[in-house]
Amino acid sequence: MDQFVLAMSKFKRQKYDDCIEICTELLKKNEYDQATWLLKCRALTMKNYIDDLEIDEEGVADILMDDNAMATAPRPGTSFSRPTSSANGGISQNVRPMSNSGRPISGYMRPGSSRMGAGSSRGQLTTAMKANRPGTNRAVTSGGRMLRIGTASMANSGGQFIQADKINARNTAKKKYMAKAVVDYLIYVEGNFRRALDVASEATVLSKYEDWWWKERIGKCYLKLGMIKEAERQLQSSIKTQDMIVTHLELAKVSMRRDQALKTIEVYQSGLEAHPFEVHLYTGISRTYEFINDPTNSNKLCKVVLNFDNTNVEAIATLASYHFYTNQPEIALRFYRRLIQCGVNNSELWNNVGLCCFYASQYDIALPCFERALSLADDTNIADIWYNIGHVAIGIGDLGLAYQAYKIAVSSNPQHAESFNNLGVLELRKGNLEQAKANFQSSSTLAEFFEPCYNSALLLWKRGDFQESYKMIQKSLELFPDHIDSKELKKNLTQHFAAF
Amino acid sequence: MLVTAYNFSLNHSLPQGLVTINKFDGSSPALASSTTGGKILIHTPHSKDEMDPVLGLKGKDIQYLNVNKDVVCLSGGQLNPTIDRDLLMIGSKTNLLVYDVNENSDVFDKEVEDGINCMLFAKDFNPAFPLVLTGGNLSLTGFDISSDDQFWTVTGDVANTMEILDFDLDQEKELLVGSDDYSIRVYKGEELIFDINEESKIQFLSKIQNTSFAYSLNNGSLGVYSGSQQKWNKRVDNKISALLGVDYDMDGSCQLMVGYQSGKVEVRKSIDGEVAQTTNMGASISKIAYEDYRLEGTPQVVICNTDGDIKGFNITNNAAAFETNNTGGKQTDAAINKLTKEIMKLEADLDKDNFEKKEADAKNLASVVPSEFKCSIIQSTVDESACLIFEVDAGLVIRSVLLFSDILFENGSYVSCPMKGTNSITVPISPSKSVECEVDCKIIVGNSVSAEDFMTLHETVVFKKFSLFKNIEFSKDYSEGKAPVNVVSYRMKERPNRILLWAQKVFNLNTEQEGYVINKSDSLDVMFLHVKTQKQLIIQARIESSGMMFQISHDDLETIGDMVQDMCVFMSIHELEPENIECPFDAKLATELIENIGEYDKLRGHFSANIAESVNNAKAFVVKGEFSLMLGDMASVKKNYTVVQQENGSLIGEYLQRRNNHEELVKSLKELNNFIRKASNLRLGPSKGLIVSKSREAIKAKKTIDVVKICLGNGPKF
Repeated sequence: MDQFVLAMSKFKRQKYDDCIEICTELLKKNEYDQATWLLKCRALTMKNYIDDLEIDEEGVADILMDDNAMATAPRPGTSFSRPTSSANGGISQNVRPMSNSGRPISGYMRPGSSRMGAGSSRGQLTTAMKANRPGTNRAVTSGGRMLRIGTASMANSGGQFIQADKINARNTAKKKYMAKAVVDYLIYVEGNFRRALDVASEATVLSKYEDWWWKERIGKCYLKLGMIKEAERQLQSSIKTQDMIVTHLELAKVSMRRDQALKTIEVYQSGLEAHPFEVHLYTGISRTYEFINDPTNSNKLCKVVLNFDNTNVEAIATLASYHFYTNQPEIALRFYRRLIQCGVNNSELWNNVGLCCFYASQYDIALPCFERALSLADDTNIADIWYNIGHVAIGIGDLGLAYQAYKIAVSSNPQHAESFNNLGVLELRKGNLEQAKANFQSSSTLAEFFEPCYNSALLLWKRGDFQESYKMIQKSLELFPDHIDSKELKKNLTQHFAAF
Repeated sequence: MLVTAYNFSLNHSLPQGLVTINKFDGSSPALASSTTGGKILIHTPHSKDEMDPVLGLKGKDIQYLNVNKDVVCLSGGQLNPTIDRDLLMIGSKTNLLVYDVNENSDVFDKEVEDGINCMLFAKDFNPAFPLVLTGGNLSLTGFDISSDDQFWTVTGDVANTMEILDFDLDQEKELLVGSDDYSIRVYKGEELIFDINEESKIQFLSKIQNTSFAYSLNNGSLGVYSGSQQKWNKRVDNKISALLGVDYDMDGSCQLMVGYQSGKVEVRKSIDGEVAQTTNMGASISKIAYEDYRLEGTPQVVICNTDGDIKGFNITNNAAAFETNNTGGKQTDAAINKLTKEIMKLEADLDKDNFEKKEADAKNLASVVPSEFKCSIIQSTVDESACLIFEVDAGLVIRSVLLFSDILFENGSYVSCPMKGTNSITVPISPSKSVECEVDCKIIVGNSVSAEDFMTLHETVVFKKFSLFKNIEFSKDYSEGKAPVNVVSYRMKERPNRILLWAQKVFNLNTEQEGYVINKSDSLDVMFLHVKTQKQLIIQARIESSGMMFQISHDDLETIGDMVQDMCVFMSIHELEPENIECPFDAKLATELIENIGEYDKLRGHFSANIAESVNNAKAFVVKGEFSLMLGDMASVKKNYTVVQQENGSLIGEYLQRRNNHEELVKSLKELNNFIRKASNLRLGPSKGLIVSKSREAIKAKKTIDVVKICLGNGPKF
């Protein structure tokens, strides 16, 4: 069998490593075999290919030195960093844990959901590095996170295929189809957006600005280089040439970078006009609503998505968590069961099923679910599961189990702030005031949520340390302005100060 | 009259002209202004939403927008007729950003190739939809809500200010544009319908009422036009920084408010420019607006200064208070007037006495100027310049000549006072622009230089438009190398005699000598030489079977256009299309320009990408450096920050390159626009506008090369 035909067949069967190997051999014999070269280029690209539409994590540098957002203090509900308050139908922070920027911490994890908001931690280098999973961190720049974890080590084996810096942009661009392969290689394998842009800009001129693909790629490169205005222009022009779904999705990212939630929805909606019933666009709108804490609209669109694609994990999970937090654990359970039917089998899901069972008073099923979750868990999420077990234990009155569960949680993840908070409460019950205080303290420094602040303020108040208590209550109110108990405590404190 | 209603300070500098008051949420007014560092400040005193306490914002009613570009002009208006709120329009040097403040979303961000220098929101300029008009380098563009340029035309120079009003009372709005070339142009749609010449760069235009508008110039002139009629103009000492027409005394007719850089605000009557009231704001005025900023139901005059103080004035027709205040003034005025008149009368009497006495003396000395003598004023063109020659009868002496004209002379006047007694004075005049204007002449004539009595003659001369062209002897051999290469010919139903009549009006013709003006019944040949540029101009007309061929040959297309326009006005021709245009140099130049523009445009993207890359690298290394600092690893800190410094250096280098490239690009675009304008000026009637819009289409479709063809035609058409 001809080796080249074999390589082609391997490529079609997605056996990229084999394909690359055969091509490398062929190229050794004849360096100028363009067909083989092209095939190898494609194989390398496909091997490293990553759906970058979904993964758009910004680097630390981009977040810290971000000046793309137009408005510094936009109206609530019009920006990703300032979601609407619970008054507009969102779920209260009391019920659903939220980050200080008002984003829910729990729920379906999506690209971009870990983006920091405009809260007080913004602009601090120490918190910027932390990604939302323990043991992971953010890349310094957005270009650095384009490699798939599993293949990252293999990517550079066998030396560089294309020397990015030696490419002559104009000559490359002239070889029409080769140029496309080269640009994709530069983007997906090398992550060298600058050179990719050079080639693409030459090529788009040669195509007389009539090829949407080049414009879309230029837009992608601009976006990665942080030139979002230029990116927007190229993508819009690409849509004018040929209306493609992928371009709409890319374009929506521009508005997200500008921190313009309503504009993002508008971009998706304009995409829907040309491509009705497109699930990705509906999902995009649904996500955007979720980001601005508008579950009513978000759920509506999740249901639309499920009409077209009834195994869409994201939509099912979003609906499930919404029902869970709105006190309908039985309905949430049905959604989670659907997820299990769809073939999802991970510790987070079993954990959620366990919680739903517990709240639906099916105690006998709850604990086996947690057991299963524990058996599937790894270092990144085991603390969360133990935390939930502790939570359930408190609910059934087994404080000893709860105490142990929280201890395990903080031992497997010493950064687990929620467990520290609950440990503090348990210590308080036991009468260990100093222990409790220390736990609240470490909890409030580890993460920014209001519970430990309020707890510690209450404790300090009862012990008569009004000054410290006032400080903590202010912090609590900063994180959750509508918290009634905090307000009450603050009022009491102010009265005391006035009396003095 | 104005009564202070409120006074507060934003504690932010409000730059001159970059302030706008609009209803961004559809109901309550907000003030937007550009501040330092590419930011825009929005002051929303009546915001309905409670500001987010999470951010712990102090000064809740002020928010900032990051534009990250220098804001050149700012405007607001209901650009989208389907939604009931105003959008904010932000013009930077190269981009127009339309932003919905209420929804925190960009409506569009459009790159404007010709740059933005001034901006105006025009609700009813185009009756179909509102437009935002931008004025840039020699071009005007109007965008609708979907960022399509629904309006585009070329103008004379950099547009400085625009205003919309019904200039010719036809119930349709016209666009007035004031530009750097001393002109106020009036556009009806895309067609230029009127051109007002002023004596300096136009600074502001502001509508007062109906057809009347105020203007101010860079040299400190201030005036009011009603349609094309000038009502008044005055020179003011201070620099003007804001204009507004407002019904100040509530009598139904609007007066003019003028803000100065000194902080003074004046109300002037729009009829005669008389000052009615003044007030002072301390610092330079940045904006005068007439808005209901406190939601009281009636609008107030809102004055902002550059220190960020905002003062509101209620307009009252508290006639009683006003009258009593003013009648006092009026009575004093009347008394002074009366006394002045008396003084004048007494002085006249005294003069008369003196005169009679002198007359008696004079009779004795016989040195009186004869009561009848001739004074001739001749316009001619000599070797270096155009000139006016004043001549009186022999035996008399011209003591001095005073000439007044704002346009011809830099300071408005010219005095010639020869030492020796002479009966003829030649005043050289070299205007910078071809323009017809009236010169006010005062000629002081006496018997001798040392005579005691002189007579003053007051004459008005119309200075011919193309006086700088010297009539030379017509010859058919163009061997001197000065022969014109540009030839534009027209076919029209006219007679050569009419052309001659026109030529007499605008040129200094030499009809006395043979061979200068060759005029036969069926032909006319005249030849000129521009005294400054030394370029020839040949005007020829021939009667042929199909009409008269009229042909102008000259190197400067602009001048040809000027002449054709002037001639058509003279002969009341409304439509004219050139038969043939030959201008090899201009065509070549335009082709080169177009090539250059393509090149610059390509390079620009390259430089921008380089800059972005450097910025990204610098950012990454700053973060790395800071992490090293946190770890106490000083060697790495140093290493990382060295890279930051290098990146910074290359960033600046790339930026300089991009700036130079951009400057070249703007220059080329400007010249291309100028070329289109010149070409359109060679025509009259509908085709004039058609050329412009066709060229625009070609540029938009990136078929720039067609522009030359469109402008110059594909050769003779029969």
